[in-house]
Amino acid sequence: MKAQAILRLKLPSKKQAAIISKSLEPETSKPLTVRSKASIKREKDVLTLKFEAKDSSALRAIINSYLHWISLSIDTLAKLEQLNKT
Amino acid sequence: MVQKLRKNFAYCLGIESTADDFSVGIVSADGKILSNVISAYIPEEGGIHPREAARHHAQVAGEVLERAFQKAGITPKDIAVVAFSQGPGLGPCLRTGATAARALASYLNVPLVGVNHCVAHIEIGKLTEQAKDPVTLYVSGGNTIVAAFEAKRYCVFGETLDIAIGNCLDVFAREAGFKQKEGKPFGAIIEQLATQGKELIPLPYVVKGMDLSFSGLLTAVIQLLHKGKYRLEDLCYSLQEVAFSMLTEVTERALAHTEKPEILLTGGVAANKRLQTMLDSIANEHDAKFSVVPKEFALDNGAMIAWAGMLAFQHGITTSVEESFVRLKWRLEEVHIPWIKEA
Repeated sequence: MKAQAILRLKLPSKKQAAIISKSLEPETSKPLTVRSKASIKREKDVLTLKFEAKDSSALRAIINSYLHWISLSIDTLAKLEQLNKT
Repeated sequence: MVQKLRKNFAYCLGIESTADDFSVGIVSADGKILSNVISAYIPEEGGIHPREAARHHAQVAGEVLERAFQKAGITPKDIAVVAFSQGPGLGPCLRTGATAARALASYLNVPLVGVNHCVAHIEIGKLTEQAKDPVTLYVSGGNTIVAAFEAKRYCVFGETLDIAIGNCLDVFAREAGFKQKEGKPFGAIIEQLATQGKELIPLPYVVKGMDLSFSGLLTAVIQLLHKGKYRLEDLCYSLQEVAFSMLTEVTERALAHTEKPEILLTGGVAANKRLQTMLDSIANEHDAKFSVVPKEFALDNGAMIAWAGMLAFQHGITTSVEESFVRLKWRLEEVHIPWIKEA
């Protein structure tokens, strides 16, 4: 793998980090394509994502995918919190 | 192990995201559809770009979820189980819905159920139309299947060997320069033009046993389109007549073979009145009942995922988060159906 990246994301809470980490694990264990892969580790409220890809285009694509999924999860959890308060 | 539903928590939330629609639906254990909210990704040009569609789904998911709960009039705490379309479908789109479903199920601490998209189409049709045991013609942009329940599963009696009928119509429409918009998909434009067709142009009619092929038909009609020799109305009319006749032939053969008492039409292409008329006529000839799933539930939708998920959950089927991989090519007949008791 020629291209690599590491992202560390601090999330609002340990609980949220745990939920998001768990929801992404199936995606890391069965990658969509042979061109790239990702791994995820959680320490308290921090997620560390490691990406490897055959080229920079594939790297950009996989990072974008994971960021979309994390953003989606954060948004979804925020909506649930809000709905539970009403 | 069958998990008993807590008395007051009898709702399933379903997430659909196999292709261009992102939808959330909520149903009750006894089959009431409380909400069904759909957000469609409509590309500016060309067909569905999977990553672009997945991006759309990620962007709208929170809003669609909120609207679904508001329409249902319940809170997240009332949800007993979360279902999601596990396959078949487009990889990036499926993964987006799956990620949302896993996050939901984990937050709510409820079971997760992976649902086969095609099973969901059939089951919601049976629910809304009170169909007991139909031959189902499922026709959409991504699927063309004739199925019926036999030996504990939905058996595929006939299917496309290449492209789906909806895809065939869409590609022709794009070649003809049509522009689709919300509420007026390509199929509706073709249908409207076809009503003004007068000449039936000879086109390839390809049925191989119980299976169909639309790619030759598509190539032929596009070639004629570019030659400019025929009216667009006549091309649309002829394309429909040939394609729908093929579908009707295979459906009738399945009906005669299985001796089922009814035909159920579902999927995005089910809205076409000409196809409905053709199938209704063969149903009459076989003394069978004919039903069309209402558009809201015939298109890809979350309520169908929720209902299929509820049925599965009530019969002990759940999917652990660790095993909730998406299944891009999950076939209908691979799904065990324990909720139907055979006579």
